[in-house]
Amino acid sequence: MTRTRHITGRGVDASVVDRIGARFTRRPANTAEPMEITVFDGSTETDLATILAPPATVCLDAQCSGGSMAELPRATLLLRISTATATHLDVANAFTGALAARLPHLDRLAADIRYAVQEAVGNAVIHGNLGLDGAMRASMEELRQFAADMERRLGDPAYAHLPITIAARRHGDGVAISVEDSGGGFHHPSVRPPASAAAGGLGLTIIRKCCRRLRFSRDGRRITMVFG
Amino acid sequence: MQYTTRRDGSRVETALSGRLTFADASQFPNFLDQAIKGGAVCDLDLGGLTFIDSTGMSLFVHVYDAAQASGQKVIMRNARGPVADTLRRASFDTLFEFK
Repeated sequence: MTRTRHITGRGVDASVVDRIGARFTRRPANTAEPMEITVFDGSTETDLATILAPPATVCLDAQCSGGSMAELPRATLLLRISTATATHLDVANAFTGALAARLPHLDRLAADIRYAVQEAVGNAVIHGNLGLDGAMRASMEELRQFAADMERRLGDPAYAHLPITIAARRHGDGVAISVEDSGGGFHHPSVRPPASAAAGGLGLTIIRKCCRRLRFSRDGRRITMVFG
Repeated sequence: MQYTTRRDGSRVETALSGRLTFADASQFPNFLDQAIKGGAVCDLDLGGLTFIDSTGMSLFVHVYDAAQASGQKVIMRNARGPVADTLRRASFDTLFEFK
């Protein structure tokens, strides 16, 4: 069985929609639920909330490199976004709002979801796709190097176009949200502790406080958080 | 994040606005150069900040470290809503004077 797919573009040429549509083609599915795919240009888009609004189910940033439908997790709502786009748009707020429109009974968890997704996306950008070590922020000199490396890598298409995939699916009465980067992965919990409070490490603590359960997979590239 | 800095004698007043997140990390060294150096008092007006994440909070750890090293006093004022809640939960009110 395959899901009915409907692909639309927003702020992108029809040729781009066709190119990406050809990559993200049929996949096996155990549901006949229609799949509404929206292709958008993350380099110019400013209104992510509208893109994620129902009935969209899969939202693909045309700025992302590579990819195919087969590698995407099944989801109630999925956003595949480039490193650069995740840096200039408020992904956590837009994604949380879009979830609230689909799962209104989870409204009471919206603040926790927003904080956790923000931290997970930040980790995916900084430590995942940009490959920057938070320990480099421990001192002022290290912070200067960190900032310079971040600027340089955000300007390098090899880093800036790497995808981050954020997917939400129903999990009992709650929701499971995964955030996956395209970096080198990390081995939790054997990561070394930060050298100072400024070096980071607080993000995972915040995530743990916000969600009911947390697990890592794909060599640490994917974090899955369960809420509710 | 956007910020403006104004010097008034030995006092450096900096007003921050917008979201202070991981996306702003590359701005941190310039921010610290302007907001911390050269004044006896560093006055941070957070009234325009709407959101802060853990990387944003790390900027204030650098502010604390720099102020400790140079003997400066740091005042944080006008933090509100989720920004005030987040900073207090992380105990920043034990590091800085909050107004």
